Amino acid sequence: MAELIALLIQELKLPPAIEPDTPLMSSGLIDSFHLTDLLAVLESHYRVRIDVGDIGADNFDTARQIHEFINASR
Amino acid sequence: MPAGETTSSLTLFEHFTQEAAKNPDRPAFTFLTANLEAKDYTFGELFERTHTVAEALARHQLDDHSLVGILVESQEAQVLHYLAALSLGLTPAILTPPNRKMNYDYYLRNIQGVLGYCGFSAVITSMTELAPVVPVLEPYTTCPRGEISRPAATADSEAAFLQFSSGTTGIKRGVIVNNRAVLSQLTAYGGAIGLTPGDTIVSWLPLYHDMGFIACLNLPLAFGAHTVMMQPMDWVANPAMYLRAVDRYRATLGWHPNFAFAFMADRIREPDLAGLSLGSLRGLINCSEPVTHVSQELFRERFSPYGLPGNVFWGCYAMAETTFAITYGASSDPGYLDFQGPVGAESRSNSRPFVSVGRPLAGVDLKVVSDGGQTCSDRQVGELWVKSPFNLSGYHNNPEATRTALCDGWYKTGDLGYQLDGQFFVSGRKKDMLIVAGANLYPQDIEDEVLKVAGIKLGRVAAFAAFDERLQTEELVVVAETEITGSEGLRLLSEVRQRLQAAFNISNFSVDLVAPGWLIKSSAGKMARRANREKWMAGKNF
Repeated sequence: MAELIALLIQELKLPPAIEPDTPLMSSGLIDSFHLTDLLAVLESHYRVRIDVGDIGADNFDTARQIHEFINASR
Repeated sequence: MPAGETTSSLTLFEHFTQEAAKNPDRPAFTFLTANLEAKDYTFGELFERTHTVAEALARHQLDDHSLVGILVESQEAQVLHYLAALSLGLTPAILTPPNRKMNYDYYLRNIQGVLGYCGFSAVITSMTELAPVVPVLEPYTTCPRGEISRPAATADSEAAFLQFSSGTTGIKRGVIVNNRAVLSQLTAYGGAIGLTPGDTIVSWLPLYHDMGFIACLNLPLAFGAHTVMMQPMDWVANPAMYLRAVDRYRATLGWHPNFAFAFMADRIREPDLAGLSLGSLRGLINCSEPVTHVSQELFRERFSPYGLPGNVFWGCYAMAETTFAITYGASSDPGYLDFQGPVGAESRSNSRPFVSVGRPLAGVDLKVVSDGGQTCSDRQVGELWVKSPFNLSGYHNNPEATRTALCDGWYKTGDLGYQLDGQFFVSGRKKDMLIVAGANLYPQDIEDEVLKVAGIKLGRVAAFAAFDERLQTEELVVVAETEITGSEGLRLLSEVRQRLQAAFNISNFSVDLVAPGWLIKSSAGKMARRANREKWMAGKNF
């Protein structure tokens, strides 16, 4: 989880105060233009393939949810 | 509507139905879902369905030419309600609907302002919260039928629709376009690009913006061409769907703002391209924000292996104030790229030439005017002024903006540019306006919106644009001072971002919250945007 948060802060230039349950999309911190950026960063770092159709505000909005999503996709 | 055909005194809607009657069984629109499932309408089906929607709308007995907002999310519903309103002699305007990611309260406040300012008679929407501001009409789904009566005879000088000079920021810059103006525009532009019923357009553009509304809705209807539409947010999340649709429907034409070429080249993943052929394309039009050669080259290099034809890029200088396009040019035209640039400019490296927007369309006068009011010579930069049969007569309910924009029948665009051997080049902005991913934004409006957020220091906000190399567009940057830090600072940042997304319908922007004292004010006490931009850029490179 700490690794994922560090990755988000580093690659997507999110503020360092991000926590596991900070909303990222619904809060506007990650905007729609950077969704594909987020996916590219995650796919290359975790070597998974993420289908845009599978993600939404209910399963991809916080670092904790993204972490669980990636674990489930592996 | 073949090129050069006179537009007589028919209304826009009568032209559409006349064209549709020639080929009722040909495809008119295909609406795609995020999963590329298609809903198709032939021209016959489209106008049959339009008639049904119009019957429901007629129940409300609105006066002729009433201004009617269309505020529904799906493009299929936008198209049907637009055509139904036109058929009844109303004056429709497609408005920006909320999207799932927007803060709804902020959005609501903003759209209420637009509706009040423009004086809409009614709005077609399921957002009942708007009822206190303007009569709300239920979108057609299962409404009972009403009697439909033909609208009173309309003159070609009467209003066809209202469009805004940009997304929601244009709230004070709505333009009423009459039948004569829009039909002259469609004839001139459609003729220049050789549009025929054999063409297929694929579009991800929103219909509440002039590029999507004119080029990908009104233009194909006037010429009997097929248009394949996807929702803008579906494309942003999955840009490969655009190229998949080009391949599936053998598309010939597409309109994009400059950033979209770099965006697709950068974000589309290789596995999504397997088996695609882009060889059917004959023109990709780069329009509505400053054109960069880099963006087009990134696209060309990335997709040439998939059959993208050479010289596929076309120039187009367009704005809502002239209904839409005033120039057209192809990348195969001599003089399309200018490596030298205007007088006084540093010459560009070979990879960054100035890109022409083409030559004026038939009937368009375009000139470059110096500060002293003289017409400039070749390569001399001045403000671009335009006179055309499709110029605005004024901004709706805004005499002050009208007065400053018009001069002796010329519309002063606020763009800086130069001319060379009949080709025009746009080189910058005279007005204090930012063009970000195709949307026109005024720094003052952005700063005022941010200052509404509690916790931001009074008067301590600067908005400016910085060029985003990766996306090949201006990125909006907002720097605001606050004493709040840590997790409360994060909450504040979210609030600022949500407000800007909802008020301006933008998504590519940076917000930096900084400690008090960071921002530079000029000696006159005004926010020094340029100095703050330089300071921000310098900090970014550390």
